[in-house]
Amino acid sequence: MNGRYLATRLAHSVFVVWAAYTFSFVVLYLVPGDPVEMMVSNGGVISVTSEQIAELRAEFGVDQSPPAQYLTNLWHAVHLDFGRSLQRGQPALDIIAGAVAPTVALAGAAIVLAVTVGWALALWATLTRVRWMQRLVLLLPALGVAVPSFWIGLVLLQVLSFRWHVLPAFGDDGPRGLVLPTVTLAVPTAAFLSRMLAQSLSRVLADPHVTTARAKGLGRWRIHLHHALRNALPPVLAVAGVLVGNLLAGSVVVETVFSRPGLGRVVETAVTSKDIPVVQALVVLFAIVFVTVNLLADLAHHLLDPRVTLAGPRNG
Amino acid sequence: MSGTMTVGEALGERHRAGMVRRGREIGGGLLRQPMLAASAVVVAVAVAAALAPGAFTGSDPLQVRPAAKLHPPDSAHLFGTDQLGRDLFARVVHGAGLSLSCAVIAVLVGLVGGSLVGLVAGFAGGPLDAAIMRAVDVLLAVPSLLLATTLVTAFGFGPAQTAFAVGTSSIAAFARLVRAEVMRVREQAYVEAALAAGARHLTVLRRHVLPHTGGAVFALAALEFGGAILAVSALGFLGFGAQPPSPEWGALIADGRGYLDTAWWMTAAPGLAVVLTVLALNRISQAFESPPVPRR
Amino acid sequence: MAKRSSWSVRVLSVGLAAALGLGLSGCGGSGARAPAGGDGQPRSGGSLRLGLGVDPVCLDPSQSGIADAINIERSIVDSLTAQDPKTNAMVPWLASSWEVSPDASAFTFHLRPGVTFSDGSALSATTVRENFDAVVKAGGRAPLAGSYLAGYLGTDVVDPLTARVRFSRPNAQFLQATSTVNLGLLSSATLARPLADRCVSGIIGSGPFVLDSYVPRQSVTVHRRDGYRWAPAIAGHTGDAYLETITYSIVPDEGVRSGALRSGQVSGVTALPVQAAVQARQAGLTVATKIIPGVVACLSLNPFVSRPAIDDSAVRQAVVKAVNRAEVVSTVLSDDYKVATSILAASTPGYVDLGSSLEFDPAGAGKLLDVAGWRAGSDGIRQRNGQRLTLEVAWTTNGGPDQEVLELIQQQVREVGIELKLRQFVTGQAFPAMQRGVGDYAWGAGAFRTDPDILRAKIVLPGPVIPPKPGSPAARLNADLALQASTVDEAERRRVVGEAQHLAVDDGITVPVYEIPAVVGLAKNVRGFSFTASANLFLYDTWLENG
Repeated sequence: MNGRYLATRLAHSVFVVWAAYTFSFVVLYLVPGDPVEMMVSNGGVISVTSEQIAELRAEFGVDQSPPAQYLTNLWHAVHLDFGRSLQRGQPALDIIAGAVAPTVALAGAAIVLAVTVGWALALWATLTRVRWMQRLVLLLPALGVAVPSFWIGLVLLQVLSFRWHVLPAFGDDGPRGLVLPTVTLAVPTAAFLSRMLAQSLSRVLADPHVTTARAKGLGRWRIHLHHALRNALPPVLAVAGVLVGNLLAGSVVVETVFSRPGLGRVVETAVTSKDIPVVQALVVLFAIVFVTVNLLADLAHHLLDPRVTLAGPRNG
Repeated sequence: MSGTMTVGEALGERHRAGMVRRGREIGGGLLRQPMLAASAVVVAVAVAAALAPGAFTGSDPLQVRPAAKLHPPDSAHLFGTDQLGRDLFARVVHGAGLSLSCAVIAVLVGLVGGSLVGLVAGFAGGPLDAAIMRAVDVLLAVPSLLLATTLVTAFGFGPAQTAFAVGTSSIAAFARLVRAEVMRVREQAYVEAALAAGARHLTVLRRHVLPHTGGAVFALAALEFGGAILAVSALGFLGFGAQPPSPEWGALIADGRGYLDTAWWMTAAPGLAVVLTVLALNRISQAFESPPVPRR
Repeated sequence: MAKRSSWSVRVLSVGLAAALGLGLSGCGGSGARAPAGGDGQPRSGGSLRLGLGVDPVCLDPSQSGIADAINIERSIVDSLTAQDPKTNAMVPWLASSWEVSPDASAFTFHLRPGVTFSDGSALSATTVRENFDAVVKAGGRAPLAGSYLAGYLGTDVVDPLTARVRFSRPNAQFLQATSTVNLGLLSSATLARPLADRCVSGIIGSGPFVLDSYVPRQSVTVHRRDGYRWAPAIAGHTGDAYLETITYSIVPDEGVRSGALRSGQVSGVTALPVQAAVQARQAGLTVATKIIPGVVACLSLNPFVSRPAIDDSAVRQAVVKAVNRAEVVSTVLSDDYKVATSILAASTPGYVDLGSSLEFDPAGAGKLLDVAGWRAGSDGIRQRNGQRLTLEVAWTTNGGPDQEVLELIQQQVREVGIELKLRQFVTGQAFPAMQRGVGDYAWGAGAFRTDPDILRAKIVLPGPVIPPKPGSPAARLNADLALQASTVDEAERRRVVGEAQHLAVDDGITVPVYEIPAVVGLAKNVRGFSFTASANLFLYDTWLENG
């Protein structure tokens, strides 16, 4: 790990964030309809005079040419000003700031649950000597990956909330309200992780190192914890960025089903109402999260397994 | 990111040796592995339903029968009827065509787009490779659902648009895999020798690279196929689905969610179709991807 | 005087308001006793938790258009007048009396003394002026409220408790407009804040409840105001409201919303879906409904297109005859809904019964098409000169039964050989798409009460792009819409609006399907609930029996 490496990585990260910003601007321009026109028709009636529309367009800066808008927006964005939401009138960053906490709580809880369950299932599957049990345990993650998460959410709601009255169906009131959304969001991730871990664990256990260790009389548990876990972590780290991205994407569906406020709901409404300032702020936020998670994952990976070079691909 | 690539490659080195051998083993393995055999059957049935729905049901999936609405499953209506009295079995069977073709389009978009990008990057190397892979990172950095939602909003509702949107967000995964595979194969002594001997790139590609990357790409395609079915249904759930009255599995689940406790079959039947198909596809993908859990 | 202009306000708002991609909305008003009441004595106290289907987005009344936003604002904000939900008569509220000039261009309001806003400031003629000035100044951000003030010249402060609102032309609908939430009165402190900031906080009205907080996409909470002494004449009691607090939770998924009601996690929900209303009744819960006055759920012509099929009046009339409205209501909907008998709901002032023109008549539809030269093709869809009889519908939904209804209609018109294609849009994008020529029809449910001038300017059929042929029904419809706007005589105006409805229906410019109700589910212990004249929640009289 050296300074030059970090500098290169940082430059790459900045590029990715900029490119994501630019990409989203272009795509949003392809969304038909003038945002101001949509905003006005959203209000109820097209009863607004063309002068009033022109005023609004000037106010939001959408009367300029797309390149001019892009440059102006980019300049402001660099100064952390993404403009005001077309839909709600508040600064885009305020809207996002207000929605970050519930989503972070949800995604954080889901990650903890997913990692715990994922590890537990993987260890159980590789440790058990009962063949059918192993197959059964390995079937769970396969199932978890295959079931649409909104369907899980709806069934959980139906049974646990509406029929048995165990947990609240919606809202953001404390930990009880977090349980069902967390489980729903965690299922696909836990399934994905446990499949991955089970695969790499079984590979590691077949490794000559481990066979030797076992021959030396080390206990099964010690072998697992010392050899297997260390070798099984890298695959998880390799996909950490994508996993976080998937959690954020999953939050769109989960937050809709469980009526939770949060980034997922902001994403959905912002995209469909062509609320360019909010979407762009979101894209930049996600891109920053993605590059940061990846950077951290690579560093962690390096610490765990110094054989892996940090210099990047041979020609990358 | 570059570091992630390193990790991916480090894993790839370990994983993919023996991929081709496994591909050959799978045929024989079918008999010994009932789950795999069952998966193949499920996929075959789903494909058959997509190609020739008439062979499975004589009912019209669009025929409205107001008098027979919300009938629970019985011998006449295997999966019951929906709120308009349409036969749900017919709708699920006919829905296979739209769902699977959406998923096929999505996977093709990802496969073709991603493979081209990955091949070019892997073969070209140097600055072009770096530039392409940064662009791929950008695709990865935008969460798939955000990307798909934006694209569907931009190009309008419809199965083709949904499929295209889902496919676009899987380009990155294919591109990275193919690039890693190309680079791995490239460095094999015989390929280097062929290149040094002046063999044309295309020839090397056809003779050496494609045969050796096919397995891994196929495994990912099978996995993405299941993922695409789920992604299309998630978009349907959020209200971007296929245009009514066309039956599509995701849209059918979404239709039934208002009837969860009065007509459970409305969500259960298409849900089962999705789960079984995705499960089967994942199992097949897995067979290509990994060695079996060791026996003890 | 008051009575004279009370009806004309609900001017014909052709379904294109809906075509603009909107859900139900209304225009506020006042309350009446609802059947939900028990025999017990109203009891003060308790918290009511309601599940709303849609995030209000903005709580500033003048900037609102969403029904659930108006549902919330009605408890915070009072209006100059109130409208009786049964008779549609205008009754006093913050204004104890008023006069309207003979040409309906000047309105003098005598304010009730002693009214204060919840920040302590007093209601005066100056506040009225500030409010109306602010709406006009808000321009495009206050489309609905702004339309009520079309032609606004200014407000004179005659004395501290007398305000005269002047218009440059007759604006007979304005008196009813003063009963809407959109023209509800806010304190000067609120009006001094920037428009955008008013959306989430600081809405200070004189209403029986005071806004505590609005967490976007999650909830709105309000608490009872002590010392409330100016309930409208049509309320069930006077003095403070019964409920201590109201929490409006935003629960977008309809299945979750109705499940939450059944399992007691909320005491009431708005926009209860059809199937859930049946279940709720079976479970002994209260289901309160009121047909929303205004335009019914309908297909309406896209004014921006001209294509051979849709331009053929035989095709348009055939569609009107081919739709089996009774089957739509009995299959997909319920008794809470009503078969449409005009483009206006029967409870709308000025409504005329066109039920005979809207009868299901597939044979008649087939005959019309035969005569016009549309012959059955091989797949059952008719053709003329090699062209298929295909019509496209641009539709949006805010979570109602729209999709099922359209799927059923699609099959119904198929029986007479018309292919109906459905194209869904995100709310707000349908109108831009229609302007680009997408869709022969727009589907929408609009209960908006609109200013006649807006009808002339925006809902002219077949539209600004292709002006109607002189003497054609569309041209006559336009003429009628223009005429009724400037007609002050009530009987004459009724006649003109009746003719407009005939033209809209008989020529197939609109295809009315069903009247839309507001459906509210309530827990057993919720009493004294009522709707305003425009079918919004009126919670001032609501009380909880044992909780």
